[in-house]
Amino acid sequence: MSERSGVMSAFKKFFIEFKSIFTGEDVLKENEEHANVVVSTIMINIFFVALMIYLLTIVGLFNVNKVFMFDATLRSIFILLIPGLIGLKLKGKGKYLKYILITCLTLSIGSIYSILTYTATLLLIVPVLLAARYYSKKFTIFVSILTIAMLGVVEYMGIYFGLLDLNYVELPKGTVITINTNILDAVKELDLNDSDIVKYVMLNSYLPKLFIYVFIIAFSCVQISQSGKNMLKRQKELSEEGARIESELNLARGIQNNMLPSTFPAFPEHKEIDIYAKMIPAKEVGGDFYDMFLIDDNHLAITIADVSGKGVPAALIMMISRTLIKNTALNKFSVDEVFYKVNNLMCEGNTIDSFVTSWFGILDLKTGYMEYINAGHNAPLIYKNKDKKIEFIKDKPNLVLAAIENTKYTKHELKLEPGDKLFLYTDGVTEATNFNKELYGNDRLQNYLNNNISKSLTDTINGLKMDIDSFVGKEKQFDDITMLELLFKEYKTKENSKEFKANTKELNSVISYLDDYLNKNNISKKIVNQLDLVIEELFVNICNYAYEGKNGYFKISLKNNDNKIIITLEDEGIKFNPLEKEEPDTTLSIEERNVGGLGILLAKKNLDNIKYKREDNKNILILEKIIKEDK
Amino acid sequence: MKIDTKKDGNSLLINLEGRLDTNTFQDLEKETDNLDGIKKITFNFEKLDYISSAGLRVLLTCQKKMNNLSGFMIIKNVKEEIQEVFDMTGFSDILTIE
Repeated sequence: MSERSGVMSAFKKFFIEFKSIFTGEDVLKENEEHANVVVSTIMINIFFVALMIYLLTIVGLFNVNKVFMFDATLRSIFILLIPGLIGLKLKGKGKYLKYILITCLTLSIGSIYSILTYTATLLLIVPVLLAARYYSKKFTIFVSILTIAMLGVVEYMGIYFGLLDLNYVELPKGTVITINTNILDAVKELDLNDSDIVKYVMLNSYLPKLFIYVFIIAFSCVQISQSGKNMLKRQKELSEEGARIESELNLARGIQNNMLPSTFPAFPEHKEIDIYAKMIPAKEVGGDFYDMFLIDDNHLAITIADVSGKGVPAALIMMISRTLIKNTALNKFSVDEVFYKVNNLMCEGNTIDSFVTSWFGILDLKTGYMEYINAGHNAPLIYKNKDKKIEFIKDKPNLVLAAIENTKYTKHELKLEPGDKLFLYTDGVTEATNFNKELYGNDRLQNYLNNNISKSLTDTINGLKMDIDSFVGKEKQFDDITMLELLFKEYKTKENSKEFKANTKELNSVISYLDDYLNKNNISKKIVNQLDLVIEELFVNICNYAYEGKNGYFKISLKNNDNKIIITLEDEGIKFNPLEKEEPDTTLSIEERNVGGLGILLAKKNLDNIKYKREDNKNILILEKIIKEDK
Repeated sequence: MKIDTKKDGNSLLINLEGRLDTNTFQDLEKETDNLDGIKKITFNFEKLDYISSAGLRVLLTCQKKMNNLSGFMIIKNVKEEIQEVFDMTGFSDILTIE
């Protein structure tokens, strides 16, 4: 259920994002709301500044017309504080909010400016600076014009109400100025009329400010708003792109993880061995891999490899090399031949100069001998149960895979005895680095394995990962970490099988061969009896029908698979599936009774499973008898 | 398989020992070939360890003969393994097992 709703919301999200790539609307809208909040906050701040100036004026620290300042502060409540609070309350949401806020702000600055004329000059740039924050060129131009108009008005008003500013008024030398509050009062005794003062102020103060404002401040702000908008869109696109790449990388990682054998025990039918492996990629997808597969019933192949480079290219090479090694090995080539062929195939198509270090071995489960190739890979460790020692397998590695065509690989051999272990890894283990730039190294690895040799494979590998983690600390994992451990538990026993002539005279030999095996395996008398009956019935059946009286071939194979006995019967007679034979009716009265088919019935009833197949012109019956119940 | 036959008037007692299978059923077949004058056959399975469908066939034939002669056929001291075979094949319903 949650998965479904998750998918739905993911779809919804996708569509919204998809739409916004083209319109960019939601980002800008979101930004506008945010800018509204910023403007509202600043408006409230300016209100408090105005309030402070007023208070300072009252205590006499500031020389401003108290009446006007009180008036301006009072006005600020309506054009700064209240709109600012409304803006915050609305959380910046509202279609025309920005116009209302900015207009109020501009008016309030005008009102302060008209009183503080030169002190408040800096305030002039506030509206347009904030307008740029909306990343809208049009809006920024609108605010510039608004400010310029406001400035013209307040400069003029400032002459009458503002703080005395005679910087722009030309005065004859020796003029004595009596300061009251405004310019006109101060200069009323002078040889200047009102219009001259207005002219001076407008020309010398307003005009330069206008130029500076229009060509520098407003122009810059328009540029800022434009590039801000572009940046915002680009950022949005990048994050979409980033999200897409990330999801694809995650997908690739999923594919890669699924490719590596990850079900353990990997070969439950082979109790001769136990194997466990783990790969922890550094980035989303890695270039390391391991593999384990059976070439036939008696040969197990294991691979560990590290592709140079990281990320998607390394993962692709990894998949190719894994497939090539496995496919070539399944064709029953020897290890050196496998690598010779794989190397040539990889050189052929390698255009990105990647190479692969790899260790590859094929273990004969019957003898414990393992042939292997080391193509530039880290030396594995071998634990000899006899000596209770774990050591590196030191031999000169061959060249890495995918480097140079026709490279010859040297086949080495090692011998595993019951209880021996083989540990393979990639350099992500030994080259894990802590903040002191120390490497985890061979010694730590060897010591760890030595101290934990009695642990299960799973515990060893997971424990080693934890040991590396605690060594590395908070440092980032910069390389894939891959580990594989193989435990050789016992030699694979020869398959128990024997051929007989398909003749009922052989029955006793067949039965004693069977009984010998079952007794050796400590099978209970009851089951021996039942299996005797099964084999007799099926054997006699084959003798009577498969070869039309002639002495043909019959083979019986026996296997003890922990909780069940598996018996395979083969003959080369005419195609005959005894399981298709109609079952006799065991409820008929004695007169109607016939003995035909009773044998097959008895066989079936005494088995837990019986299968028939026709292969290579052979009739093959596979019989299963459970000898102990599963836990 | 060992067969030990004791005839007492019109009764026949057959003691079987070992395995009644494909290789041995013919021996028993011979013993029970001629049942003229016999009214009662008793098989003692006390020492019989094993029976296969070949053995069942002989028992079935013998039972049919006795039915035709209006006689009795009884099987005594059947071991568990053999009883299972009788049960599986429905022979427990048509044989008289004591």
